[in-house]
Amino acid sequence: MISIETDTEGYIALKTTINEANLNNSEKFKAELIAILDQYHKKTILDMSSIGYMDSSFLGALVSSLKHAIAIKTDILLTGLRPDIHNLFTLIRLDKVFKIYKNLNEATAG
Amino acid sequence: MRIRTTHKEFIFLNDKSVLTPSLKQVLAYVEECTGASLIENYEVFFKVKSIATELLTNSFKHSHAHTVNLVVDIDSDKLIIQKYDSGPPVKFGKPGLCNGKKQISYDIMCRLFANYHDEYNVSFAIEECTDDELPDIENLTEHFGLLIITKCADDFIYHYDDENKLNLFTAKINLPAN
Repeated sequence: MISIETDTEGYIALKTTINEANLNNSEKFKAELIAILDQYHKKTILDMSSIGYMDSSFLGALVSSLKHAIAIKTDILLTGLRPDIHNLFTLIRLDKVFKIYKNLNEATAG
Repeated sequence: MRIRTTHKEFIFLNDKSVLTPSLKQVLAYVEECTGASLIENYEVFFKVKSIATELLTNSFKHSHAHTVNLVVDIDSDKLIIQKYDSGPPVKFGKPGLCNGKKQISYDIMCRLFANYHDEYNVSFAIEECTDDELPDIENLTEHFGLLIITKCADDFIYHYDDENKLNLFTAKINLPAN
């Protein structure tokens, strides 16, 4: 569900491998992401460009993962959100909660 | 928009593994009934996609019924999506009313309330938070379904049909004039 693309000193870059992000896989996704956060313990940049469908359960899993990241003093940055997904974040103001960038280059520059 | 007045009822398995295939059926139907207009009108398409997704997710998450029924009505000026499933009436928010309403959830800028018109009739409304009420991330909700529907719909109501023991959620989207 999540692949590790790059592991550098400053950050780890991840990529989702699913198109449908919903109640069917949100708990498993959260467990995978939290396991990576706990293992690498560094700024995590998550490319979500594979995701075409997302529901509130998955958004909840992302928020829960971000809370965990903050609790262990790291962060989750999001990149590659498709227009529908980005609009969903904007609708419920999660664009004010997550740091969202177009791509990895922007995220690492920011 | 080039609207064809239609009514269609979908019956889906109440199983989370079929969420996206079910959603795709609804979207394809709405697109068929409005020609290419959904591509031309992204805002309506986004609202339909978000509302249908959350109505189905709500059912998969909370209803123990074997099936979930989704009814789509389209006419010249509005699109109505209604979901119903069997089961006991839904209770929104924490017990106890304050001026006839209960807080259900919130995002970082606003709160979602259920307005109880009576025991079985509820409408949903959003109120902006004042600056000193804004929750921090630690206290942010992880439940956004009803909030998404309320924000996308021009009108969103819940009714419990006590005679038939059905929970009915109805979301209305006003369509832009030609």
